[in-house]
Formats: sequence, C-alpha cells, structure tokens
Amino acid sequence: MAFRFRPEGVTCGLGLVALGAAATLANLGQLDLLATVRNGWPLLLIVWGALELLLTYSTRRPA
Amino acid sequence: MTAPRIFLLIGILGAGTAVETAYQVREHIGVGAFGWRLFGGKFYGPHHVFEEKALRAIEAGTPVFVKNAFGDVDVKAGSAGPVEILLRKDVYIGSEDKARAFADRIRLQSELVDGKLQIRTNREELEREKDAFDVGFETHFQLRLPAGTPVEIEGSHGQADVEDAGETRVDNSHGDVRVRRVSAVRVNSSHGAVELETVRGAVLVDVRHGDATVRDAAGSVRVVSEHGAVSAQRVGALEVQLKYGDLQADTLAGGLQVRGEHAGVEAKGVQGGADVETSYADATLEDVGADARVKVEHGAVVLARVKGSVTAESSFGDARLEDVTGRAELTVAHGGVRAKRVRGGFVARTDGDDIVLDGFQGAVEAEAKRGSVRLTPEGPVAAGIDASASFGNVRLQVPDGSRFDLVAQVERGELRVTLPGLEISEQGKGRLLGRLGDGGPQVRLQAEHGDVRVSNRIAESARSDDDE
Repeated sequence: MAFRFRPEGVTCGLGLVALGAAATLANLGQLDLLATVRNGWPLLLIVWGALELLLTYSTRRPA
Repeated sequence: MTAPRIFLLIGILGAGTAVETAYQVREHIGVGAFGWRLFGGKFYGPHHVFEEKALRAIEAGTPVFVKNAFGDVDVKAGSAGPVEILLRKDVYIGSEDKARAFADRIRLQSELVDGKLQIRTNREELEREKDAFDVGFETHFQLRLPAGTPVEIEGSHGQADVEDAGETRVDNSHGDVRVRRVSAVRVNSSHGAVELETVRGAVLVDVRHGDATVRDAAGSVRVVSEHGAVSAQRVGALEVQLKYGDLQADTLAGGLQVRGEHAGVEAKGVQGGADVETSYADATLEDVGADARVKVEHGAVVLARVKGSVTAESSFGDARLEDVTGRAELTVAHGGVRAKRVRGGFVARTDGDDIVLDGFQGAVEAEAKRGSVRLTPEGPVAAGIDASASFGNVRLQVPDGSRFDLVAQVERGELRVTLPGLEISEQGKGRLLGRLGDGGPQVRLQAEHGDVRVSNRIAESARSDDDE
C-alpha cells in the first residue's frame, strides 16, 4: 500500500500533538494554556500552507 | 479545494476565533475572586505550601486583630510570652520554584495600631499586580496567644476557630466559625455555620445562610438568623430572630423571646417566661417557669408544664395544652383546642374545630364556631362556666359535690340534662334553669345548631364506655 502525502492530514495531526503538549505543560504549571494557544494557532495555517506548496512543487513535472 | 480541506480551514479559523474571544474576555472582564470556574478556578490543580513564622511581644490584655481572606484563622492559647504567628501560604502554581518565588511575595504583616496588634497579609496589594491576579493562593493563620487575650477576626472564604480567648469578635463570610471557652463573643457570619461553646458572658450572633449552635453560655444569648437552624443548649436568657429555619432550645436559665418567620420553635426547660411569635411552622414549649405567650400563624401551638399563665394564638393549626398552673387564654382560627389540667382558669375561642378541656380548675369561657365544646372539670365545679357552640354540641361532665346555677339553652338541637340532685326551676322548649346543691357560680351552656348535654361524670363515663 503506497503512502499518500496529504497536507491537511499532517496539519491536523500536528495541531492535535501541539494542543496536547500545551495542555500537559499547562497542567504542570509551566505555561498559560489560553495565552499559548492564542499566540500559536496561526502557525497551523503557516504549516499547512508550506506543506501544500511543498506538495505542489514536488509533484510538478518539468515542461 | 476538496471538502476535507474546506472543513479543516473552517475548523482552524473557528478555533482561533474562539480562543481569541476567550482570551479577550478573560483579560477585560472581572471573573471574581475564584477566577475562571469553567477551567477549575484559581484554587485548583497542583499547589505548594510554604510557611512563615513570627513572634510579636505585646502587653497582657492587648487585643489582637486578624484580617484574612482565602484561608483559615486558628487562634488558641499558648504561652504567656509573645504572640506566636504561623502563616501557611498555599500557592496554586504547578512549578515549585515558581510557587516559592510567588510565596516570597506574600508577606506577613503585624503591627501595633491604636493599642491593638493587627495581623494580616499583603493580599490586597498583591492581587492588584497583573501577574498575580490569576494566581490562587491561600493564607492560613495559626496564632498562639496568652490565654484571655481579646481577639477580633475579619475573614472571608475560610474558617475561623478561636479557643481560650477573652472577648471575641468574628466577622466572617464563606466559612464556618467555631468559638470555645471565651469570656464573651460576637459573631457576624454569612454563608457558614456558627458553633459557640462555653462562653462566660454575653453572646451575639448574626448569621445568614448557616446554622447557629450555642452551648453552655452563662450570659444572655441573642441570635439573628436567616436560612439556617438555631440550636441553644444550657444558655442564659435567649432572644432569637429567625427566618426560614427552626429553633431548638433546651435548658435556658432565663426567658425566651422568639420572633420567627417560616420557623419552627421547640423549647424545653425555660426557667423564665416565653414570648414566641412565628409563622408557617409549629411552636412547642415544655417546662416553662413563668408566663408564656405564643402566636403562630399557619401552625400549631403545643404547651406543656407551664408554671404561669398562657396566652396563645394560632391559625390553621391546633392549640394543645397540658399542665398549666395559671390562666390560659387561647384563640384559634381554623383549628381546635385540646387542653388537660389547666388550673388557673381558661378562655378559648376557636373557629373550625372543637374545644376539649379535660381536668380543669377555675372559671371557663369557651366559644366554638363550627365546632363542639367538651368540658370535664378536675374536681367539683366551683367557678363559673360559659360555653357556647354555633355548629356543634356542648357537653359538660359534672363531678360529685358540685354546686352551681345552671342555664342551659339550645336553639335547634336537643337539650339533655341528667344530674341527680338538680332542682329545676324553669324548663321550656330548648331552655332549662336549675340549681345544683346550694347553688353558686353560674354555669351557662348554649348551642345554636347542636345539642347540650349535662350529666354527672360517673354516668357520662359509663355511657361513654357503652358507646365504645
């Protein structure tokens, strides 16, 4: 079964990992969850966009 | 763009919007002392405890004032030397280092002001600092004072516990108050129970939303209570104002005064008199050493063993009396009267049920509307009786040896008088006049829509047995 690279799947997975890590650190008293999520959530859009670009250029064949 | 991508984009943007909104709300809207309860509040999660101790020398008898919030205040007798102060700081920050750094910013303050040792923390100043607003921290005081030191506590969100102090005053909210073995006490409490024990002087309690218990108070006790029960045992004179809670009192060295609303009253062993007014619950008094006055709206009255006169009013509930030494005067609307062994005379007016008087002495006035009157004297009739019923019967059992002038009258019922030795002087339709023995006080019995029946006690008892 061939691996199929899907940027939205990777973005979703990375977002969940980041949210879980932030929540854990917040429970340990290391950071403020709400402020961290507020500051960091646009990163998901950046990561997703970068992955889409990567996918687009990696699959383009030369003319 | 595919559907999963559209959904993911909407999800990310929606989550970001929600987070931004929550953050703005948190930053710009006050959330109360406990912080964001939705996320567990400030006082939630891992926390660390740190202690700070101090000694303050004071002259004997110098009052000690403690102001605290979000923590308990525990005051007990210690050595006769300086005041020992222990401040326990409980900081709700997960990291111990950060919690310790924050705890270092919580300072214990104690200073003599106007001859009073004032003990507090810098909580108010600290909470005004932006980085401290969201941090939950409790401050618990433990004080060891010379025995008999006057104590004053102003606290909130914590318990106040005082033992072996002098005159004590506690103003507390959202926490219980316990005071034991003090010379006098005054407590103002909201949202917390109050328990006072062994007080040598006067007791004043004002409590909202909590029970109040007072035991072994030699002086007078005054309690104002709303939304809580009041209990008093072995106290001096007791004065209670209460709403939406019941009173239980036992063994009072003085009198009892109660003003209640939606409050039941139970009192035993009142050496002085009793003056009780309440509503929507019953009032029961037993073993009262002097006069008793009780007024209950929408409730019953029960009085037993009263060494004085009784004045009682009730509505939508019966009045019951037993063993009253003095005169009893009862007025009952929508209820009846049951009385046994009332020895100083009896006046009763009811509307809606019977008057039953068993084993009485002295003059009697009984008027029942829509009810019957049944009278059984304890001994020979020696005082006047005036009994009437509008829609019910009037029955009198006459003991041997009685002497009186009888006037018995009915309008629409049957008149039946069976008294051996009665000299009838006039007898007509529904009316009879006679004299028993040598005559004496007037016995007047009247029924409008019912019977009048007079008989001697033995005959009546035998008939009652037959009926049974």
